[in-house]
Amino acid sequence: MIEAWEMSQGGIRVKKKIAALVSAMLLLLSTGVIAFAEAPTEETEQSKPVIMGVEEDTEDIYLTTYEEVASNSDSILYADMQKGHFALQDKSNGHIWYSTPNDSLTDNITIGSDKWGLRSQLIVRYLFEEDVLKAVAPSETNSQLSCIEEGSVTVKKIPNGIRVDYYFGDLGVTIPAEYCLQGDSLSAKILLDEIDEGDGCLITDINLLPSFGAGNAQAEGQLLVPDGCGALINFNNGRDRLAYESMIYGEDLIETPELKTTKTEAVRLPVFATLMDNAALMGIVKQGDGSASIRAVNGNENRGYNAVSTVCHLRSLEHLTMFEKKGNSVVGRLTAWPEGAEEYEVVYTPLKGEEATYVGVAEKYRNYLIEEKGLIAKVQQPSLSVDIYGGVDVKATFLGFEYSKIEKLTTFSQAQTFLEKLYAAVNMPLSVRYLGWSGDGILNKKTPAKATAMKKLGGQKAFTSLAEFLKGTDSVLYTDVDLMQFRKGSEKRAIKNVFNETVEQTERLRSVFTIRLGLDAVKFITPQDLYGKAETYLESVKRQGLTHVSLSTIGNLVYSNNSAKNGFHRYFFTGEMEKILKLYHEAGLSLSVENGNAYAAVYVDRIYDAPTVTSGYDIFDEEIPFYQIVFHGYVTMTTTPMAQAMEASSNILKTVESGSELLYGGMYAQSSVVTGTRYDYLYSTEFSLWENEAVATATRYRDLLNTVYDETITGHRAVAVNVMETTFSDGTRVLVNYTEEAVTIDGVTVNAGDYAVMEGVTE
Amino acid sequence: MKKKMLSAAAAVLILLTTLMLPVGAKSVTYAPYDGYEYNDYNESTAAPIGYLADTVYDSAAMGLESSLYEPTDMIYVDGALYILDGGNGRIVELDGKTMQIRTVYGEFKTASGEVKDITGARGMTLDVDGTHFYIANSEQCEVLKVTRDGTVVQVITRPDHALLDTEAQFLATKVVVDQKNRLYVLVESINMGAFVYDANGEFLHFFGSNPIVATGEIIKNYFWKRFMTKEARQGLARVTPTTFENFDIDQYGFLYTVTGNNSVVAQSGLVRRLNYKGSDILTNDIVFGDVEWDRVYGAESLTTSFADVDIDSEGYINLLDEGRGRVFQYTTDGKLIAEFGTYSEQVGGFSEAVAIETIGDRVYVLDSGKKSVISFRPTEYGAALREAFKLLSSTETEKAYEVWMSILKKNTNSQYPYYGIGMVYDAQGRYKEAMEYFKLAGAHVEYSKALREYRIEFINTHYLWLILGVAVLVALVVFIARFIKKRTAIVHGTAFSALETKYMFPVYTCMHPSDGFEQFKTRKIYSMRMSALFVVLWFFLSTMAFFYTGYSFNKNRAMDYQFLTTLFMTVGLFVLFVVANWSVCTLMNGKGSLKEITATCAYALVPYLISILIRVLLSNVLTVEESAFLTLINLIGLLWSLLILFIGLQSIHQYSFWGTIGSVLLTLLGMAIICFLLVLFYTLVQQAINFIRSIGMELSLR
Repeated sequence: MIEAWEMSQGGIRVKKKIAALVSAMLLLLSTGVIAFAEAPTEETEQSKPVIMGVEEDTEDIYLTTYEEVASNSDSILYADMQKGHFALQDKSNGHIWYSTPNDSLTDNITIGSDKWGLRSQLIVRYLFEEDVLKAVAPSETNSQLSCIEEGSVTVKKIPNGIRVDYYFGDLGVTIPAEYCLQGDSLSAKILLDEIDEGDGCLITDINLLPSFGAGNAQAEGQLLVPDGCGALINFNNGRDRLAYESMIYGEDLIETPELKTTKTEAVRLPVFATLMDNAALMGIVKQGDGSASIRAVNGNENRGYNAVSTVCHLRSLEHLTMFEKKGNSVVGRLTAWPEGAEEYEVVYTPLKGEEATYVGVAEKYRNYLIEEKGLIAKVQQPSLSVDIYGGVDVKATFLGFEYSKIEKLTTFSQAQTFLEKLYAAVNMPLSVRYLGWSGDGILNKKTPAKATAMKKLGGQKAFTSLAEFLKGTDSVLYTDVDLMQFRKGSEKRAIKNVFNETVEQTERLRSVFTIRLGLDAVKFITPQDLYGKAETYLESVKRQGLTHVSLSTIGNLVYSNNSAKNGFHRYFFTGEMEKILKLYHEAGLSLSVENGNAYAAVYVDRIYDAPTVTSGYDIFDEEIPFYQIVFHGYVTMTTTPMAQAMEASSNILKTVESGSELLYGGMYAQSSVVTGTRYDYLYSTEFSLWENEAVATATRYRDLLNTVYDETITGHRAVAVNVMETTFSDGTRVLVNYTEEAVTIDGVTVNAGDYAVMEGVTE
Repeated sequence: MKKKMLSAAAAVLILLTTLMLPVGAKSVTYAPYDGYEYNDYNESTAAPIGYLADTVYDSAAMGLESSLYEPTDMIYVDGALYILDGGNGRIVELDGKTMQIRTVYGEFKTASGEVKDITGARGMTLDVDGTHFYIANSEQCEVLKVTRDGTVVQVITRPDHALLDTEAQFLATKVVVDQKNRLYVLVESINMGAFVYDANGEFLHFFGSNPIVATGEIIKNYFWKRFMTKEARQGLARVTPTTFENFDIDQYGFLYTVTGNNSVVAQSGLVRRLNYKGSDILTNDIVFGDVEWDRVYGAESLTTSFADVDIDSEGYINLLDEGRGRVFQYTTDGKLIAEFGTYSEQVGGFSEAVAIETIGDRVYVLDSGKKSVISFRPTEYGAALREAFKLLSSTETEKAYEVWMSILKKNTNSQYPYYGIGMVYDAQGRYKEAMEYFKLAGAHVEYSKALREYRIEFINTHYLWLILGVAVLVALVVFIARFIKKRTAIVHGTAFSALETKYMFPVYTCMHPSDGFEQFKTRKIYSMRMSALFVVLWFFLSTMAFFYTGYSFNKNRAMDYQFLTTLFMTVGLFVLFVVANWSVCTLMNGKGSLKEITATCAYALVPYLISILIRVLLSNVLTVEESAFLTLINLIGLLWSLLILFIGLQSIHQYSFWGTIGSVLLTLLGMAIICFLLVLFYTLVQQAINFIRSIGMELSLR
């Protein structure tokens, strides 16, 4: 029966193929856009790199002569020893990845500056010294225009690869790069410490290999960008939009536009990939990820290729408007060079066959973290995650005089009473994160030095009682601390912008985006002072005998200090954070972070509020739980706190789809006490409002979570539009239906907005 | 033949694209905006998102062969969505459910074979039977009536006979047809309202012209013009009624119009609901759009400017604000249900939104910049709010209560559930509870209405006590009156009455100011302690009025109470007046001493203070309709006090009537000068500080 089904399926497919072929030919003949001669040949035998579309009158600057420069058991590296172009061949399937597309000559779609992006290996943005003060926007040039066409590229063979010195004659700048084979990968490096900026030119950013592995206008495939949870861009989706570009680990805090009309999700992983049929090229930013961004371009009417790459940010131009009343005099200044940074390195790895999917990329990246960063599987036992909001520091008035007071949202004993009830109802351990349990409450006034329970919430005794209770139920209690943000006190230890002004983040009105008056701005402690603060706090943690610490911001905030005196470049920031995480980790503490960046995952046991959505850029085609696929089975993750999710129903589905834990945030007090304060985002978190729903949802999800919590995700795909299937390493398959109608897959019916488990079914 | 080949090619293309599509994908959902609601102080509070974009239909997703180009209008009729693709001069018909292309209307010919090019057309509609399109062919200054097979059956041009006093062109932009098949045309260049035509294309009349708003600018110009030469006068921009930007007709035949506007703050009157006479029947002072004060940042600030309106199946008003790139959904009472969208290259963001249309509870936005139709669906929260507002006007109070409670559960910041539950209680006759909820909802008018009902109920149940109370009150008043009358009699053996003693003297001055203040001089009978007491009392009564004035009349929040401001407005004002009067009168040979002036002013306050007290007490039992009583009491108290003050000053300074008037005017001037000097001093200090600071900055940078 099944065979017959497949047969008939096959029959249809063949017919369709024939129909497609015929119609395609018809179409091609009638339009005559694509010349058949240039269609890529089958890559069964190990073909050499070729360059297509070469005609007699093709200028030399567009020609490339590849010769083999290095090889190992996995791959061969070819390079043009005059121009520095290279091609990476995967020996196992013969697929060749070109540093600049080998069919760029036949591209008659791409226009404008994208043409340079297509042919260059480096795109450089720079400023001349005299333009800095005038705040002139940085200009752009590229290796094709400034180096190859001027014949100013020097290529040298080095062990396993080549070194290319790009001399930008018009700028007087030399940028050396190395492209070397490294096992099954290719390492592309910009030698930052050897860059010679010559006289008076200042480099701001370098886009490395903007079109490495690019797919052309006829190719089928997808670009994987790690925006939020992960997004896919279909090749040639035709959308006429700006290129996607987003800083890895989030935008720098310094650049707060005056009128931010939109919000976005941050990139949390330094990984990207080009996915094609049976072949993929993934990249990992290995060095300099703290100061890099992911950039992706899609094919459309004016761009004949699709590519994803990275940009290394070295300096940025900041503006200051002076004497606003007497005409605008805008002054510019550049932030400092990352003194001491040696290399910017991106490791490219070709994937093939079944590996060449986003699940394969996630697995490969996980293996990278395991081998290079020491990631180990450390999932905690399945639980229901709960955030408890302790105290908040709010402004109150008495007879028109303002004063600040702690609003008690949940005392320790109130928390205990509630959690006892909840535990009895869900019959599974709880993972509790207590926010605002110490110091000044949820948002610091001053950076905390002591890990002591807030007296107003019941003090040490009540806290110990709560901790004891949780311990007795196999539950965990993470006490939250924010070591980075503060509102009051000396600005000496706050980061500054390049004009030596303290960097402040203000609350914005949700309606018209301008500053919400009457609230203290948030300042950030300098990276240099952070380690000391962390050490002091750790001492207190040890004294108090705490075992689980939630280092919320340490895992997700990245910034630089641009003060002239004690500047600290973003390039080094992640290293500083790793030092702190390591310090706490080695003290034997169990750590958790919120919406954590890649470097934090290695040290933590839990990631609260892991990203579940992308920024939803127009050029995105699909949303995938890439982040979760990477870490599931290794680090325990939760999804967004239920009350703060865009919609609770889809948040639950996302939890199930990625095998994460549910997270509910709650307070004992009536949550209308936060209305009108800066904490008004905590609306509807009162325990009684969600308790029953949480119990019902968690009880239903419990069995599935118990099965899959420590498994990795081995498969993830769409079985229909907005119907997703996740396969875990034990063979459990979960179907999640985001649509408004029931669907039936393999005989299993999944209701609208619901999920179903297909246990024991293996493929 | 050629056409056939083309369509074959198109079919092939569609086939190809369907073959290329993967099995499925998780579509990208994101809200690049935050949800918010406005409280009764026009402050935004955090709220769940009401609408989420679920799909962006670009030309490829619609199955269109060639991309949309500068589309201008979109209508939904009977399961089909029509897009006026202005830049390409065609109309695209999509299936309303699948959003897949059904037909493209690309060629328009008159019966005589003349080809009509509709490139640049800006508006379109279908007649009642759905057999004819009306197309506002803006660039050709005409409106076309076209059958579905592309035959132009009528060309409507400028109705010259109705436009004798203008030579403006007939720049038709938008069209709409009412239930009687009458055609309404908006003409950008002519501001006499909508042009109305009958089904045969005969011009009938103008409809609902937008009135000129008397802004400060216009009034200023009016006065300036008196002093200007003719040439200069012509140079002034002529202020004319603003033209409607767009319109829609609801199921009851009311015409909704929107007006573009470019001011930073939203104003009332930008959205109007016109009855058959052409007059606006929306509650007057509803301000649509963002009402929070937008603190301007140079040129970056956004403005409210409505480009389109659509009335959905529930009768809710959907407004497209192209200034902020945002959609607002309101009930007809002007309650904001949801707002969504922003300017961004994200799902749910707009590039250049031009038209809005609803299908059921879904909202579709046509984006000319993105060449797409963006579809939004209500979230659980948005859908519940829509349902709840609908139930407000129904008799199913139990159900309404439940829905409102579910909303309260989802958003504890919102005042709507309190309003809704208040309405439920009100409908159930539980006025006391309704009042409590209206207080939480910030609904003063509704509170007042419930109070009226509650008062009737209270009177009905407690009338015995009330009669008794009134009797006691009357007795008290009679007693006081008699007491005072008795005391006004001259006490035997003295020249004075019992009121003319030190501590009863304030009562005496109220009754006999002229004689009373005279005695300030002759008997030095005033008390400085009592004067101080009155001034302090003024402060306390003002404070009391702030907090305890009845909710129907009281929009104050405890947190907004300003101690210092209140102090200045009472004690400060008093001191300022006394000091200024003393300074002036010393120069003008006034005979009053500083003490006398102080006492006079303080004693004069008494009637006013009593009026405040009565007002506060009464405001708790009166309703908004009876506010005239309060005003009257206020007025009596104030005038009484001013009269006493005037007579008092006249007496103690021993001025003539005109002399007193002069001194009072000079006193007011003196007060102004003192204030001015204080402000001047403050500004100077500030300027000096700023100057030093900017020099420091300059030095550090250059």
